[in-house]
Amino acid sequence: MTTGQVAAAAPSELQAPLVSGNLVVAGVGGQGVILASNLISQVLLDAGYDVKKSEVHGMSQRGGTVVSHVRFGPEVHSVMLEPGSADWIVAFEWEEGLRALSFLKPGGVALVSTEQRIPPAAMLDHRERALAYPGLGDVPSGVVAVDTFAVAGDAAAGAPVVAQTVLLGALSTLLPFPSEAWQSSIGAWVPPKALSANLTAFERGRALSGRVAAAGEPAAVAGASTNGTAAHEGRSGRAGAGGVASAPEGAAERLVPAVHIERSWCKGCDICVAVCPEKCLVLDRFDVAVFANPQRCTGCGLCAWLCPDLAIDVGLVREAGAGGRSS
Amino acid sequence: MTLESLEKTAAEGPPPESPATAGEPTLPEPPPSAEKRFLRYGMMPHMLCPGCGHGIVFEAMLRALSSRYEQLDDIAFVAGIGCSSRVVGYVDACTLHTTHGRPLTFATGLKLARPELKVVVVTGDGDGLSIGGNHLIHAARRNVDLTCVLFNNEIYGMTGGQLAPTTIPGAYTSTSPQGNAETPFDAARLVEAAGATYVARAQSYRTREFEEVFLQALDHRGFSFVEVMTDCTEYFGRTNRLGNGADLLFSQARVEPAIDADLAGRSTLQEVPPRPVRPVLEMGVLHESSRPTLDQAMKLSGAGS
Amino acid sequence: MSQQLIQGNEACARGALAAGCSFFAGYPISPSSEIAELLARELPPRGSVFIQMEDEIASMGAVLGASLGGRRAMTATSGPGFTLMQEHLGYASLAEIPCVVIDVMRGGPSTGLPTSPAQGDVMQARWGSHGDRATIALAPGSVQEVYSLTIEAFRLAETLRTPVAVLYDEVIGHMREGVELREPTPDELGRRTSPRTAFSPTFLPYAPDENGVAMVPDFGRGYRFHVTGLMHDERGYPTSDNAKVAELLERLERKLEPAVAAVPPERYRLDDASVVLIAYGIVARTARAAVDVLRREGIRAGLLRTRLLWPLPAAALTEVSRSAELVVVAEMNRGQWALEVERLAGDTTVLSPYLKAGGSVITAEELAGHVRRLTREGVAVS
Repeated sequence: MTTGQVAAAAPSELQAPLVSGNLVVAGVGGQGVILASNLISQVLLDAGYDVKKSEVHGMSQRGGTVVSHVRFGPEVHSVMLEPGSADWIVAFEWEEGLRALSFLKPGGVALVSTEQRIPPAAMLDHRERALAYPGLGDVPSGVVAVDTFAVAGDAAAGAPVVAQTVLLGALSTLLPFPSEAWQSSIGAWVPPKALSANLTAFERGRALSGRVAAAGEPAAVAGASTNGTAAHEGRSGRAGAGGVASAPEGAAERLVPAVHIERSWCKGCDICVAVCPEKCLVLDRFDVAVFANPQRCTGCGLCAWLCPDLAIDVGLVREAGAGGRSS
Repeated sequence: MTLESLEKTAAEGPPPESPATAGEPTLPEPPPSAEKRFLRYGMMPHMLCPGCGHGIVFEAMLRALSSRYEQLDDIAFVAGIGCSSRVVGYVDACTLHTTHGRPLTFATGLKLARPELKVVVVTGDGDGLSIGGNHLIHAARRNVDLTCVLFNNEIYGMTGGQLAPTTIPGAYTSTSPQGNAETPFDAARLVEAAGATYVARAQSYRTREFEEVFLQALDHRGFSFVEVMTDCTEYFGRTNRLGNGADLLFSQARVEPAIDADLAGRSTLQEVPPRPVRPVLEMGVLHESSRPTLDQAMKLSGAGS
Repeated sequence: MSQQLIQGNEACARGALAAGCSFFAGYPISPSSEIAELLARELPPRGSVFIQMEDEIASMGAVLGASLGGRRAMTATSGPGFTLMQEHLGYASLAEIPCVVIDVMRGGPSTGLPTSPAQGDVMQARWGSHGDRATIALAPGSVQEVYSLTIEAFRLAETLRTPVAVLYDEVIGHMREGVELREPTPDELGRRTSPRTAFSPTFLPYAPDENGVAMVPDFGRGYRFHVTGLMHDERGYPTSDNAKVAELLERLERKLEPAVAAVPPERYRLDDASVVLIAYGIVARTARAAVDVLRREGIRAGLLRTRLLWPLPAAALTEVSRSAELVVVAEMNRGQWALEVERLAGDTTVLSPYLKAGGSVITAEELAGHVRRLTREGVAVS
């Protein structure tokens, strides 16, 4: 009854009309999953379908797992999807995408961002699992891994969340609706100031149609750059649990202030970046704080005091050599 | 302390080594700060939102405890339901996550059953002042010998940003889309009037001052109450367009008129008197007195059963 | 031992003291207040705690806090108060905190008939708290039994780590009878489950023993652990893992099964009975009289008097209801336990409950008349 098969054809070449379909949108809170599923539903509603959409939030917290099911057809009754019944999956986060794969039907296509955000909820039960975050090595069949940041390029420069609109562009090439229908829905749902960036990201996503159409082939990561996304940048090793940590032996030593940031605890709120009097800290592209300018650190500890995630430790460490800190 | 954290690490698996990342400094890592020994690593990271002021207060509590106690075996942490109440789950102690609004009832029973235990209640403004308001004033009236820390972020966070009995007039929440028409409680003064024998107020921004009054409250014999103003970034901050976590913190540093000014300047609020919306709150120790605690008055021994 | 003439509510308080209860928190409500009043006199001189809380929600909270502190703790209330306690009863079931709740039932709904007898809380005891909560509810039928079943309630609560409700009506609560206040043996007191290992970072407070009962330590005894009303794993940490949640709910239900054998029903003239009366509490006394009346008239009547309402003594109910021609469940409500019997009885049995919810006790004559009428109509042979 559904038409996952049309996915292989370019929109202009569609023969059979799309009767009905099922879609899963997944990600973590703050990534715009609900907005994206609203936007998709709007396109479907405008095309004349009966559309039902569920919103499964986690707790009302930013950063939790968020899944939305969208079903459309001449008449839709139940909204929740059975496993193996989704024609398409759009996931804004890599592990959430893999987790949603049980919903994908054979021949279906999953467009999954390679962005990695570990939702805290995923870590409540199994910290181990969250730390054993799946790599990008084995991309399951049907999955198109998209480095949304790379594809979006400067479109996401202002707001990283815009990068995910790339996936809507890619999705649009699987569905028989004109680009204008999508643009109009984006216009209806996205705040005006972010419209132009989103439309750019959308168009860049549409340019992935070739890759998307080839879904099911052994997949590579789509996009210009995959650097830095393949491995989870987990908690860095600790030199020691107590006392002053040591540098390699044999060098002259002096004590210097240093900051440790527990990457898997940092939620990227930006407070440490804002409060550091010496501007030692920055957020990286994953919204995780990084001790970027150690040579400026005075060890004042303000970042640790005001870190809501208990992710920062400040202390003195022995530095090798008399010169400045190596980098 | 180091031995204990090492044991914990041994029990719950070592943190994974990440591959050396090019471009990062090769400085050795500083050791975990002392208060981290009180954390349940298996529960971390916590579930609070990015920038949530509760996390700042929580770490400050641990820091204060760490300056006073070697271990927390004889301290019970009791909490209700809500974002603030969740923090007790991350403390490696006897922790009791009860029902919505009722932590003080459990704590009263526990304290009378075992007077020798130190009891710390963590509650929020919805938990402690709305659904649990009656229990709060009665615990204060009885002078139950415990410390109650009320995290006041002026909103219901966990359920999605609804109006609280502490929400300032005019503020937007998901259930006051036209601006709050109600007058908030002054929690500290309410509890003082009900009979609490130690009352203080602090801010998440001034963590050292909070630690100071929290320690005084712990040392106090009787019902000690610390109201701590914290920021809900995701709901209060966003809905009222007050910026991110750092912006909210800095607005605390300016003792709140920034919030007033921001809310006052918005046209849709103009029909909602009175403004300025939030009084400048008095901080520090607001009340201190002495009278027999409930277990003393009942002549209960600390032997337990 | 000599008998003492005491009231039902006093027998309850005496039973609680004999069972080692050292903590009571409650809120005044008719017709249960005598229990609180007596314990207010008796507990403090023993170094134990009596506290009157600000409401029933707080009372139940205080009881649970005290129980986690290691006390044998209880409260007593009536229908409206029992309603306010339901959320905390659900909490106690899930967090496996032992406690005893006495519910001296009165007519309802709402404030209802505060000083009249009823058996209206049978289903509230079972389903009053949200979710699938398994529970134990006992139903004494005499003042003597109020004493012994209060002791048994503490034993079941402590050994199975669960809330136990004792349901009786206003008549039993205020009736005076000769009672033998026998001190319970250690076996009759039971012992709370506790951990078998010393504390370590890998300690699992919610690991079940061989009976499916979690071995949760008391607070402040050297074990650091988390107690929550969220679904939790054996560490006590919150979980939403579907399989773990399902397993937990199943275990919480299964662990209560020993209560069925511990509190067996009483069978009266059932051997050759074609008419079976099923009753509990005060009604079982008049039902017994009705059986004697009917027997004298040649009707082969018998009585199954249950002292356990929940978990349902299904085997006994199935057996008697399927062997009889006519089954009459008599209760002082609009039909609560009768529904359960209906569910268990075979197709060939005629079920005709005798229900009375007006605020007075079912009399033997009313009940005998009901059976007589049915036998005359040929429903059952005499």
